[in-house]
Amino acid sequence: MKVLRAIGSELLGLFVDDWAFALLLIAWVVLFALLRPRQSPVFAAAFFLGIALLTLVFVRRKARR
Amino acid sequence: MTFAWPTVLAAFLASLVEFVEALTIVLAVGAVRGWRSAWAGTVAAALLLAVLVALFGPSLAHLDMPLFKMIVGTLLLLFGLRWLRKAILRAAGVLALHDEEKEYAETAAALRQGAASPASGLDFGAAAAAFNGVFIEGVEVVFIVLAVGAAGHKTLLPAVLGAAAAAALVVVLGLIARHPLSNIPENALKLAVGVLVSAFGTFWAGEGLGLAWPGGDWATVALSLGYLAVAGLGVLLARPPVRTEQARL
Repeated sequence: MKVLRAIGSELLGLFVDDWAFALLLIAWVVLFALLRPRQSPVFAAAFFLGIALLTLVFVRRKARR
Repeated sequence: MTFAWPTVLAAFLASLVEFVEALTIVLAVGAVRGWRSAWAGTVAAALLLAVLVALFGPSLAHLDMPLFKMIVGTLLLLFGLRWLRKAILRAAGVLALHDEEKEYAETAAALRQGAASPASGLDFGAAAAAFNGVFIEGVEVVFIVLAVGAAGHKTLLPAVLGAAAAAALVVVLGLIARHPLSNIPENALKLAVGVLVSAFGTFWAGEGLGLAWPGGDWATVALSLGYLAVAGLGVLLARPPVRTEQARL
């Protein structure tokens, strides 16, 4: 059980180092999944820009700490 | 004897695109985190794919590909953006370029607890990134082979041969590109890996969500440039303000 927990936390650590960032990113993906966007490049651009903005906000937040 | 050359060519070209995408990730991961881990992830993904194909064969074509792409794409995004943010903070001088003392303390603590030891020489993060990249592209190649070879058993073999030729070409390309990559500074490579993995993660997650990427697969190039711009902007935003005394000097 202890070994499994250690492996689980190791695996989780590969993807998540900041829970707030990870949850907001997942929420952004889920939002697009719920919206079921039309086949328009505007939605694709919006998807990328949202992630880019989130990344910049968290980089600045970490730098200011 | 007539041979289905158009089938071979179609499978070769379509698979080549997918293999090159997988190679990009494997090369990036290998150059930064070690070739052993990159190859371990690649071989594990290839073996799992071989087992899945042997077990399920053509029924794999019924896999919910959008959902699969969305999940793997999101995982790659989380992984790639974690690297990208760290590389930005290092480039801006917020984090140390290579904190060996901290690394030593962490390794020593892990050894004391009997947890993950570096004795295996395997970096699970790197192996997982290579695994994800090779697995998702490998599944796509399986789909391509099944789709191109769907006309009957006489076209399935040429489709498999076309995909195998593409794989062989990509392996040769990988071996050639391996050495020049090891001369690039560590943080620049880490930043490049973050950019590439994030770009592919965004692309796949978007495809899984049903987004229409302009230019199809070429959108990964635009996304990579986009993340490069994000990295540049991030370094400017994170850079500590220059003190006036220093500025006078």
